[in-house]
Amino acid sequence: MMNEKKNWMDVAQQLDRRWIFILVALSVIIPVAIGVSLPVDTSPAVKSIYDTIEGLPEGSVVMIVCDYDPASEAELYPMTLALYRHCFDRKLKILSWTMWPNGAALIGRAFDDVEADIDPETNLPIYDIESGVDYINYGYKVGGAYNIIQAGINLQNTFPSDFRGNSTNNMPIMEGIDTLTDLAYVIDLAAGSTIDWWVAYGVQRYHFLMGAGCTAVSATQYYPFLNTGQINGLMGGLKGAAEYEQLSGHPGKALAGMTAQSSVHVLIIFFVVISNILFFITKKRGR
Amino acid sequence: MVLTIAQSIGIFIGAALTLMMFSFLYKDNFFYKFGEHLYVGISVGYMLNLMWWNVLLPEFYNPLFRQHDFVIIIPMILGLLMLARFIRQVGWLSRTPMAFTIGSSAGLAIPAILSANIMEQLHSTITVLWVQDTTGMSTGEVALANFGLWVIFIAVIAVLFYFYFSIEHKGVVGQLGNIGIWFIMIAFGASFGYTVMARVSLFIGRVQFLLQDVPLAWNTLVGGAGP
Repeated sequence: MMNEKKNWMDVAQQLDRRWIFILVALSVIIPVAIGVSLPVDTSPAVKSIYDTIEGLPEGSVVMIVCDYDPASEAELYPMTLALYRHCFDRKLKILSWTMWPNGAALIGRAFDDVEADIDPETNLPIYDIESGVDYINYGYKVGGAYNIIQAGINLQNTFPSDFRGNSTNNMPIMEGIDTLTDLAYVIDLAAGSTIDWWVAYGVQRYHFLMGAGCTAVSATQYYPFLNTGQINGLMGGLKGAAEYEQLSGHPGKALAGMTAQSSVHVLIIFFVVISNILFFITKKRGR
Repeated sequence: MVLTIAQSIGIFIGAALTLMMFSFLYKDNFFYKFGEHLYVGISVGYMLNLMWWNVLLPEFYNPLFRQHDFVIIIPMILGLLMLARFIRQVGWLSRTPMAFTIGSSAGLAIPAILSANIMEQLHSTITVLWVQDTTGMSTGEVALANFGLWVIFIAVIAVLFYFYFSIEHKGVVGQLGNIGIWFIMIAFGASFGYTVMARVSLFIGRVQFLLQDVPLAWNTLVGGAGP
């Protein structure tokens, strides 16, 4: 029995899973190394966020809440960058903060990255932005959902200082901004359940316009909020980020990763089909 | 993008730790264990530091000792009572802050979550069975949107019947329950698909880091491009 020749079905069914890991790794590494980026289709849920920002008058204040940490950076950081760049393109002002302790450093890095954007023609910075005038980074705020309720009553009391400890009281950006309802748009980029909090404690209570971005894992959980109009747009995972990068004209890591994403999906579909064929053949043979 | 020397060294450490973590895919080994323990240790140290500078200092120390806001003593006492759980003799004291936290959270959450997650969803599912605003939509798009609304309506009813165990699942109830299973499986499939996409995205992020950021850091360290 030991010397019995194995047929292809036995080999396939006993395949060491590490061969599959290698194939998945190659299907990601090769497209990323080659650097091919294919265009992506834009979904209405992402376009709605883009259209909302496009429609805001110059000088409007938008709140972008970055409720994630480095574990979800791959999906949500490209969204943050694309949104910041789009808002600054449109001369909008940004208030940013996080309910995740490890998210504060990512907000700071995102503003630094955008400030460091250089126009290749003039060799000058693209965005002439200043903290306190064009944006505020409030950093990490302890208290979770209570912050949302408090910000709906008084934004200044909720965020008395920025992440460096500077008082926000006399910052020009805060002129005429007293509560969440004074903001033109609120977007929560979430790796956890904070979109639930924003909808329950923010939108339902204070009735402001809100969009959201989330990791792909949570996307199906938040589509019901989109259908009811509790949020007006939703970006799901790296695909959502890529769509937004494409719409806003700022191609970045998300759009560059879409080719790799597609190639892995093709590979997984191939494995699913092969596995099912093997399953049915084995079942038919009564093994 | 111009990197500093410190950033470049950080990227190299990050790359080494990423490879240590991926080495587990081959088999459990010393490098994986080292990376894992380092991650846990550094995370705890970083969080403690973060909590001091972002929570205890601005929310407790400064208000109490610099602004002499003595009201802060009340939440401080409640917070300390939480720690009473570690001492058996006075462990019962932790019930007071626990009761306060659970009571206030429940009072705040129940009406809000009921309104946002149940009433609002129920309202949209039952009352909106035809698209209200058809401006700019073709006949086909309106038909498709209406079809979607009816599918959601039927799915909710069918899935509710599947989970309704007070009637035996026979006849119409049984058939509705079977339809419900199909909708549940489709929902699970969609969630699984998105989960696969999410995990692949994280891997893409790491590969981009290794193939794009590491060469930049190398250029900075070897070529001296950094400030």
